[in-house]
Amino acid sequence: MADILFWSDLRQCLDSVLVEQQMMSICDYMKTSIAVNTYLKEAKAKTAVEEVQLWVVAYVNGHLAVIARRMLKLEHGPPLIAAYVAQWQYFAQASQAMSGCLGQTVGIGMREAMVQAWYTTVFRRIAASMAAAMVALVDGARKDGGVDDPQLLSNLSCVLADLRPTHAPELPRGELLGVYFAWYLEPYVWAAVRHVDSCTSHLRTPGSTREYIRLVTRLIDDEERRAVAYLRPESVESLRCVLAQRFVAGSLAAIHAEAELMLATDDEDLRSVFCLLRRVPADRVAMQPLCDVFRAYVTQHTLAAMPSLAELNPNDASVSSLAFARNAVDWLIAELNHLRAMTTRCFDDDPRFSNSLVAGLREALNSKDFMGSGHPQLEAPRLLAGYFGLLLQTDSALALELAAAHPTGFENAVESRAREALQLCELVNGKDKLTYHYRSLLARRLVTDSSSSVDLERTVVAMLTPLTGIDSTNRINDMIEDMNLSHTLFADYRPSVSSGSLDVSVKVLRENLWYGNLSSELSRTMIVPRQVSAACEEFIEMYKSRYNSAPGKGRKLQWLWAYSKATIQLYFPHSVGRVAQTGYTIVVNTYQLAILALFTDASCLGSAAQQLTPAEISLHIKLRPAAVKSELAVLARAGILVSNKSNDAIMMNSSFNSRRLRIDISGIKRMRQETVAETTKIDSYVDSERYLQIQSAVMTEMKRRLSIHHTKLLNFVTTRLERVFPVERPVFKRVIGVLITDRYIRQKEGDFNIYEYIA
Amino acid sequence: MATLNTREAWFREYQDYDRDDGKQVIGLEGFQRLCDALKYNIVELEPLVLLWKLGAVELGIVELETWDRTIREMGVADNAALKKTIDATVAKFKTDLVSYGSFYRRVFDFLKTTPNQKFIPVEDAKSALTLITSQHWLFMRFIEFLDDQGKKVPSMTRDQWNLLLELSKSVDAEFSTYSKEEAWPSLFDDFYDWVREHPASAPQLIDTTSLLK
Repeated sequence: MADILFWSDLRQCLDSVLVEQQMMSICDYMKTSIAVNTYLKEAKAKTAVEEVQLWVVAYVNGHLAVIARRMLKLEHGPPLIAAYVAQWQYFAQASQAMSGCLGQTVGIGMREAMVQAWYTTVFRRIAASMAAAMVALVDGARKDGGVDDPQLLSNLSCVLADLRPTHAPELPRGELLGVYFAWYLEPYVWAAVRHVDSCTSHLRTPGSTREYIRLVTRLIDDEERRAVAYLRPESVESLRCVLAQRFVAGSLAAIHAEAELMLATDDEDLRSVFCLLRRVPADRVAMQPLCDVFRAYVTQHTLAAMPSLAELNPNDASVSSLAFARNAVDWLIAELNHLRAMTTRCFDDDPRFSNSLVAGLREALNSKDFMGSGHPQLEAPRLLAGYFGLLLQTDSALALELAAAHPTGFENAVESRAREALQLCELVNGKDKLTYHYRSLLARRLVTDSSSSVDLERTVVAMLTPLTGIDSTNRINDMIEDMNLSHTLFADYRPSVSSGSLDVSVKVLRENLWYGNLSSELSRTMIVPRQVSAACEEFIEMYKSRYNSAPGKGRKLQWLWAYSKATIQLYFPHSVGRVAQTGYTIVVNTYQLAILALFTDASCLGSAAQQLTPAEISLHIKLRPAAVKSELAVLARAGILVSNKSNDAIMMNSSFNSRRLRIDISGIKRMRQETVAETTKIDSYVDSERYLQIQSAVMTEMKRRLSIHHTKLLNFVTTRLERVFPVERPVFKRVIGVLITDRYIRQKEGDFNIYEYIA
Repeated sequence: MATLNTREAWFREYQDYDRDDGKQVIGLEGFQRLCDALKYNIVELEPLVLLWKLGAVELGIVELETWDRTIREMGVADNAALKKTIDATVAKFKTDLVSYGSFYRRVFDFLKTTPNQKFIPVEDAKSALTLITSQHWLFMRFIEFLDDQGKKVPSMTRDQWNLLLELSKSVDAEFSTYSKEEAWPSLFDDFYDWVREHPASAPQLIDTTSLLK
């Protein structure tokens, strides 16, 4: 009973303190103070003090709740703030008075507890209400398309600061943030989500994806821009994540499908897709499918865009790809540049898309469908080697164009083009094949004296080295050096008078370096004209005297007639005018020279022949009938020889006439290119070399490991050789099959996937 | 149980000649006579099983030494007992896959024409497979595949021959358990591709469990 009276008294006292306009007198304070102290002395327990504290705080909270409710009915803004400040001022005095009268008995900290009650019960409610009002304001502007007010956020801070009581302790940062996060940020974000949702809901149907992408992009951009004005900087990212998760990650499949359609047509929308996907948190999942789509597009687009070259007939043996090499490589470089520009434009040079571009183009270049033809000369390594050949060949159309366009910087222009082509070389899997073809064409350039310059040759080889490996370019460098050495050693060689008026130039090359690149079987055996054979013998004597000191030892010289040519002066009896005196200058190959010598050189047959049948020619110069037939056809086409239709005999065309005084029928220029048969031969040579390299790698690892699992062995061999060529599983298995058959290795009894080395 | 002299006398009945290396052998003609005595058709399975049981390593050639050892091990004394053993062995192939595997691998040697030969002609391989596998579906599909390949597959190695038996044990009619990632010969990878392109008609999908009928 006493307790009830006590609490009743206490409530009465405090009411008189807290209720506005009823300031306590000193007697009231005394009375309250005495009542509390008396009660506490009677209670004589620590718990009683705590009980009073709790009761007082609860009492104050209830009192403040009434005040807060009353204030929230006022208009948000100055009236509310004025009421708030006035209320605080009174509460501050009251709480000071209360803590004065209660402090002696309920202990210190009473005032702090009451201020905290103010924050909890009044400040937060008012702040929350004002924050919600601001969110509504922003949302209204968003929906009505109103102009955003960048001052709004700072206004919110100001308002919150104003709410801080003048004499109160500094408003804790956590208090402000708590209000921001709880009553401002979250409602703001969801208002934005609701807005985007309502604007785009009608576009979430098949067929509207592109419009959806455009609209979502615009709306999210707007929201991000707005968020910069209305949210704390660190909250903008949260809003971005929520919007991306909701409106992008939720529609990924449709967006990816639409992106596939956009690739071929619309760059701008594609960029929108990329920007959209980039917003998705941890965008790897969202971006990877687009990367895959881009990669497939690059491959398909590259393969599909070469219609003119696809028309070649693979069975046409007369085709030489050099004519196509320039077109193809130029096109590929342009395609690469186009795709790179697209990557920059649409994907901001994102490394993932750059990698997809490289992978897609690599797939296209190494595809069996490359150039749409199965023609051996249209494989990427062959075309690239051919392109380098054209760049470095002194009289190719490409080199001539570059020389005309860059009269002073020809070498730089060639280097620049070579560098562009090298980008494609990086993508070619069979770098060994590229090197073999390069070497073959280099050999032809050097032997036919059609290389632009040795320095340029060396420069391009140096550029190739990092790609193909030093082992493969070493031999190329050695070939260049060998040719240089030959030039140096024999540049000053002149035959003696005994060789007649022949001006002889000879190249001596090391067979082991040039083997496989200069086909020795092309050089058929035959009886060369006397003058030529005399010059050859004289050269051999000179060579032996210099380098073959010991009899029966030293180097053996083999003449490659197929790569030899001669410039002769021919006079025809019925020629008239100046030509009758000067004759015609004819460039012929050695076979043609030997045939013509039968008709023009009395020393061959005792007297110059008038008529000879092809069989007789073949017999006299000991050249195969097929070869004689082919050379006779060339001489007949040029009009130098004619055939007697009655007896099939061949004779000189005494009435030969031509407007050109110099005629080249040697066909040596044709030697600069590979025939289809030669290309096929190189390809099969490459295949056999690859086979041996795989075999060597397998045996190396088997000797080291003695026993190894099939997959591990395949991985080892693939990794070891991947720089040079891709190891194909069927070839690897064939190698393994042969090694098992030849008993170098065996499959483990009971587990055929394990190979064991047989010592 | 036959004594040494009995076994040798039995051998002499079919012995053809002494080889260049001095070894006494039953040759092709002698083996034909032995098959006739046992009432075996030379182009059927039993003569091959007989050769295997007699320890031969070449088609139709049985050395005295191996004859003596194998006849002793089989514990037979005359043709009737020998025939009974061979017939029992053939009958047991259905369940004794280890024994069959041993026989199957030896057949590769019988198909070689010279001892050092590493390959057997594909035509011989096809005939032998038809004979010794009792037309098991996988071998029949393999023969069909070889026919389709023509000259592209002219011969088979021992490795391919031996693993073909392993393949027959490890795949179903759809080759669903086959993997090119494993160490199967590339010929089998081609076979796998071919099977995918040429699905078997219903009758060929029978008997996937037992090796022999």
